Amino acid sequence: MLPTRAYATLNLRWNPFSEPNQEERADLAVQMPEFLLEPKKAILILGEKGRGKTTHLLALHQKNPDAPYVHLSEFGKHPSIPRANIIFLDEAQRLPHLTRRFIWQRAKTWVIASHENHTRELEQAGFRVEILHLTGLTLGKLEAVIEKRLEWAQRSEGQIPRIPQQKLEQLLKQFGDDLRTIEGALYNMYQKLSKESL
Amino acid sequence: MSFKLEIRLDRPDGVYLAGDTVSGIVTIHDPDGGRGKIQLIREWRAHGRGHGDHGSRAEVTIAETWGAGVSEVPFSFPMPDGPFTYRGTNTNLDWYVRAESGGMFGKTKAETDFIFGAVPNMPSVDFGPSYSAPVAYGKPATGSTFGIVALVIFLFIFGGIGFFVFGTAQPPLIVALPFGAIFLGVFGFIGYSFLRNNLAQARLGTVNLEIEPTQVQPGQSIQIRFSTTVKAEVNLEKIEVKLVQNEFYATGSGTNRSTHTVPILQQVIPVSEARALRAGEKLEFAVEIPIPADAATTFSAHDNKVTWQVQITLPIKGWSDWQHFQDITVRP
Repeated sequence: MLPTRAYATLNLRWNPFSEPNQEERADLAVQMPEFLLEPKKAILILGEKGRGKTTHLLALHQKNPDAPYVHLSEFGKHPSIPRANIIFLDEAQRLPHLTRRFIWQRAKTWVIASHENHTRELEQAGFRVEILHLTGLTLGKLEAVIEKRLEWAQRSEGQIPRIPQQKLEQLLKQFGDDLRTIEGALYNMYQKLSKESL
Repeated sequence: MSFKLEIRLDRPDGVYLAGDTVSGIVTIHDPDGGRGKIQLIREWRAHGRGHGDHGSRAEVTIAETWGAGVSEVPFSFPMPDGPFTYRGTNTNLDWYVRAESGGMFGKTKAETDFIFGAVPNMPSVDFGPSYSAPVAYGKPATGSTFGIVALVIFLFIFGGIGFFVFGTAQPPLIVALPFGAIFLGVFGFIGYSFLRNNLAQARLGTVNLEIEPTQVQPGQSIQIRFSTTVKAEVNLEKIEVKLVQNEFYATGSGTNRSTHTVPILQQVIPVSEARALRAGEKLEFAVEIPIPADAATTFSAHDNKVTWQVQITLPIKGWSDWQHFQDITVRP
């Protein structure tokens, strides 16, 4: 038996809250502030888990695709951090404090995503630090995130199902600014919609 | 009019079957005409709650120069033997044709998806890049394999005990005790998983189990024949056989990678009620498991899988259970 075109009935190509690949994820970032990447400057993206640090970092990296992007795993051996003009470093808090002090000299400009504030050590290394705090998800930002996701998944021009504002307010109340968990809940909602539309 | 690409498939419903050729037309809208590479890519992508996978990529350059206005370029791709379109809960598989122009146009893209279905009795099927055929029950671990496994488990368990007993002199007790307990717990569990059936068979006797076939089509059945002669008195709980369809997806990366296996369909077939068996008694049963007529074809990629399993459990009261989970391939 042939599968049905479940998402097609919703005018979607896939569930809008499916996991995007790295390139798509960068395209899905919203309300990105402009940063001027100059020598001796460090951009520090701070936030708890699921707040969009990696998405913001990838979106900035997309504008500088030749610069190395280094993601540090929680356990095991870290990848080597090269010398470069600009380095994008994800999960910087996973490097020991002493190692970090040593590696800051490897780039002229840093763009860093971290759970910890490294301002002091970066300033000691001679960097001017600009911080982007990812906290306090507003209804407006959540709507913008959802809009981007729907645009990404939309099949063709025309109507697509939208989540009522009241439901979004409910999700914000339930999960606070944990965007990743909210996206998980929205995945389930669109999955349910696609089954119901058959 | 700015530069634009469009793809139109020859079949408006976008449905193709194994053995078909996917064909259509790429329309290039360009007010000035130009040169560069327009690539056409056909591939499947698995997408859903976790990371995506892709494969069976075929790529062809369809144009290097084109005139001003609207140009149409026909294309065709023969389709492989799978994998097939799948609509699931946590994972999905879709086929796409994508036109891409690089160079001076930056990244102009057009993409369309289509449904790719199987036909019955295909001589060969592509179940995905990570697929391996199921191994049938009945090949007990050889002496050497069993010996190595037992030795590794023994070393880990006693390593843990060693840490517990002697290691406490160095690190503070508050660190050593929970660490030792976790070490023992984890490796004890692994050890138990390896040895569970051997322990169970010490009372249950050597199990003879046949599960046929391990590759099956929707609507067909799987036959299970189980027999043993009980070695020592056992109190068996209710015996059930299950047919389970799972979806597998992965999130996170590197050592943060988490894998999730979610049962999508579960069919339970009761075999017998609880009963006591004496030493020397024979325990036998035969079960037929029908595979649903709309069963999804098995699929296996690195981060997305659709799998089928027959799960047989003999719960023994006050003793280690006997269990066998047999992977099954569902094929068109």
